[in-house]
Amino acid sequence: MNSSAIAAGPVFSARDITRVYRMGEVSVHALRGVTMDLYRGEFVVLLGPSGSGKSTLLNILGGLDVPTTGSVHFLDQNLTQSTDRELTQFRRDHVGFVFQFYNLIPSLTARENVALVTEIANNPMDPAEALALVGLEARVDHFPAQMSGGEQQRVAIARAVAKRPDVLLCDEPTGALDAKTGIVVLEVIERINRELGTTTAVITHNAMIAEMADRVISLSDGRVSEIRRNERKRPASEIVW
Amino acid sequence: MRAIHRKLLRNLWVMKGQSIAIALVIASGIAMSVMSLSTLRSLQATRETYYQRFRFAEVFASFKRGPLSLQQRVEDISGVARA
Amino acid sequence: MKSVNLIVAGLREPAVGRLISIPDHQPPRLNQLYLRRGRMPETGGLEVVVGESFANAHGFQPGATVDAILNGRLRTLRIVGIVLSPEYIVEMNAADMLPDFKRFGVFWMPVTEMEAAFDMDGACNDLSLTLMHGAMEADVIRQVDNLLADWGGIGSFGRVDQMSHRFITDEISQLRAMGLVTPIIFMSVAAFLLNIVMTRLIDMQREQIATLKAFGYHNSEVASHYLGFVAIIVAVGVLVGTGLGIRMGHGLTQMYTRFFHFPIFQFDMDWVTAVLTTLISAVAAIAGTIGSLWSASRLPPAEAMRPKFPGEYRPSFIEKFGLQRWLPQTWRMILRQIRRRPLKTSFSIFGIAMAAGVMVLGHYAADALDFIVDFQFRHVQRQDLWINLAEPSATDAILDFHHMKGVVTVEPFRALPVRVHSGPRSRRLSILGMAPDRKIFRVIAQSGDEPPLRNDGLVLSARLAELLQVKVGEYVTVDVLEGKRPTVQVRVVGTVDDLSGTNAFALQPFVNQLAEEGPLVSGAWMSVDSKHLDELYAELKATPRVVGVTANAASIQSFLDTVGENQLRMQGFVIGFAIVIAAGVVYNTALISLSERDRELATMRVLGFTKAEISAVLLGELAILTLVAVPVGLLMGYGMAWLSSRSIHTDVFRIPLVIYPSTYARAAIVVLIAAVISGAIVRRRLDRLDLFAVLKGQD
Repeated sequence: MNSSAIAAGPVFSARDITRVYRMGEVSVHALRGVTMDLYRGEFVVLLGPSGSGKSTLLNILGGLDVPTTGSVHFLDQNLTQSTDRELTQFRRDHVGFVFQFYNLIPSLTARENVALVTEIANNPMDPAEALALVGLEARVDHFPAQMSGGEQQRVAIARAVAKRPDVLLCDEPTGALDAKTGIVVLEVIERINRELGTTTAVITHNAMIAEMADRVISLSDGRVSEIRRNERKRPASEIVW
Repeated sequence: MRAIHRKLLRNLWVMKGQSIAIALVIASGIAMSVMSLSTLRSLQATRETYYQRFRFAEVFASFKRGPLSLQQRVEDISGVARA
Repeated sequence: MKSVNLIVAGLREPAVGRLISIPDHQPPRLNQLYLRRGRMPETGGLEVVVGESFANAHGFQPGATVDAILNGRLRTLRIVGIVLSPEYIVEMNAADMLPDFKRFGVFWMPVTEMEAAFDMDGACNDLSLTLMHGAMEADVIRQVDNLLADWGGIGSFGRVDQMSHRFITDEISQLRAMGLVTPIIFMSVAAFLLNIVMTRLIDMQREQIATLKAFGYHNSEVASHYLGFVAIIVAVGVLVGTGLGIRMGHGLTQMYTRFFHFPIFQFDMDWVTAVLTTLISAVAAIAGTIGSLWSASRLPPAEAMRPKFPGEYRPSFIEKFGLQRWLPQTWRMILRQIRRRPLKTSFSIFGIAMAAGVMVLGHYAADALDFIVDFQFRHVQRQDLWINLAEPSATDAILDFHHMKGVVTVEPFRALPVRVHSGPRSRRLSILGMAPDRKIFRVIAQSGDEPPLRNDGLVLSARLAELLQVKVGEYVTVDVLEGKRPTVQVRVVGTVDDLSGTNAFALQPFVNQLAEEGPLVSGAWMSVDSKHLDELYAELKATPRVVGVTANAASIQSFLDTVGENQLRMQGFVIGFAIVIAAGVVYNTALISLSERDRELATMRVLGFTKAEISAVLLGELAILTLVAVPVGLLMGYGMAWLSSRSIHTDVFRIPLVIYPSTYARAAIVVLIAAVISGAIVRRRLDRLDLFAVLKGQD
């Protein structure tokens, strides 16, 4: 993280956003006024217990969901006033997602899962190159069912970064993994952030993971409770949980 | 081939039993219809060709007994081509 | 043209021959002959050529002879050739309901021989003509009738009323009904199947759809991806169906070409139908899947990441009555499942029912024909012999018949050729004048009612009244085409829903009064002691006034056999298609239920239920659906048969709405067997499925 990025202004800026879901007769307030920025090239962890609204925030940043009130900007684009079609185009051009449960297409091989995204991107990597980046050169023609959870999540990361997104959004990427494979996955995310300079936001409820980040944004009960900067980023390989 | 098309074909392959069953229902309907109406058309065409080639008449008349000259008189009726 | 009695070796009863003159040394100007075998006849030596149907029925080859009564004398006709004629594609007598190839034959003879044999020097009694392009047929017919009135014309008519043409038209018009009705049935079933399969597929792939969208696939791209499934299935169906249709159409055309003895074979693929059915399948497929495609494209990418809620179940209505005490747990599951998805349940029932309906509809034509033959020859025409006189004669001509050996009862009749008009509509027919008390030939409706015949008006066939659009109490104009040829207004005093086409009946004195003649008869119906049949035949063959003797029901057996063969082949198709529908619906419904409920079934296995018990939950639902669907399908079959009996308008005979219990039974059995086999396939799949893996897996 260097100061020139901050000087260039935030990539994402969310201002006082709320999100209310109606579930039948009950209203669920997932976000109650969140204001935050994301700067180019930084590694941010959104930390919070389950139900704190961090997934909702990530979905809104990624253009999967829109806030009930407040505004979200990606560079010059106002995501709160974008049509469904514009949001889709925004996701297609700028965002890479990694989900807790990988969400690979079971009927496609690793290479094909990556190709699924590179085929609709403007300036993508070769799928094999993306898979090499996550250390899966040997598994390109395997189906999800033939791979371990850690391998599947690395395919998901390769799929997310293959289109060279401006921002990589990861929703509990290690949530379904054991510690050892979780670290391997975190190392991959760390390397992507470092080598490709992709702005990265990772959701987790695990405070240990937060130590990898440039900045940590803590959420509780739909609000930002704390924003702190790590003076020293701890490498993923040193994390234990 | 694009990955999304591969997905389509692989999904279809997994559901091949169901897909074939549905395709067969469609095929049966079409086969029945094409068979019936093609046969109808063929038979009508065959009959028409037969009629034309062997000069099948269009109006038929019987009577008790008349002179052969009736043929000429019928042919003189306006609208009659040949008798 | 002359009708004569034939004496054919090996045939007890007399046959009717129709002798037609042709020019001596050149082809006729119209109605030319196609020489199948042998040569054309020369003059001097009573040489004839004979129609192929009659020749085949008796195994005649060129060189054979047949005896005929020509002008009261027994003569021997020498067959030198076998021919086909466009005028007698179906060789049948206008008076008969169905062709009888053994007892009706057509012969062509050089005109000089004809004149000599019948003392008809320079005379003729038959004419036919073709029209100039654009000429009005009705105008020409009127002028021809005017011209021929002086020569005893009995009314000219167009091709519509020409026996052979009409028979073929009726026969092949059934193809149109089949060609139009079946795609609707099959496509509605296909639409339903596509609906349940695509709804389920999209449901199962909610997360995948959401993932695609999260990565920037547009709604339209997602929708068209799933539309691709439908498109491929439809495309395969269309290609296979069209190919199969062409092959089967080719075969069926060949069969009909043989049946009708067409001298040429021509197969024209109906591409319009191919295109139309393709469009219909596409429309049906889209109608069946548009809802699920729409929901796939509307699915918000974020919400799809969340798992689906468990389905809402409620007690089934049986349980509302407190009957659940007697229902085991598995049955409650089955009933609640049926109750939970009423639309899917009713469509499944509808689909399976369609299979039964198709079976019923497919066999309906055969049942109807059986019924017609049975009704006509056991209840209506109970004569052993039908005798036509050469011309209307005084009633005492009939007296002679009473004295012939073996004759039990004689019922004389008067047949008066007329043209009946009502407004612009007209029909040419013979009014039958009958005795007040009819034991042999009865006027009887399908329902068994016998409307009384009267001396002040006509009783019309219901079909004729429909064609003329007249009601009881209204008047029709009758042009008598015989004798003094008066034109009279006659009241319609009743209708009878008979089967044998377009008839008009009255009491005999009334008919003679219409013709402004004394008491004349045209022929008689007789019942005969079968012991003396041979002697009676011999005597009739030698009676000069008698020009035609037609024997009873047995005589059309050969025709029914031919028809039966054709129908058997069509039956094969229909059964095959019914199985495709029934199996398609049962198999698909079962697999969908299995995929919807695999977790539930796996849980039951964990709780200690056996494979057989969990199969019962799945297949029990199908068993109930099938058992409900069969009677529904039989009813639908009845409905479709009713529709088709309304849509096929044939004049030769009405197609009654008759379906025998055996047809229902066959339909039910075929559908049940198809369901059981599909159930067995699903059961095998269920047995092989690793249900425990389902519990671990994510989707």
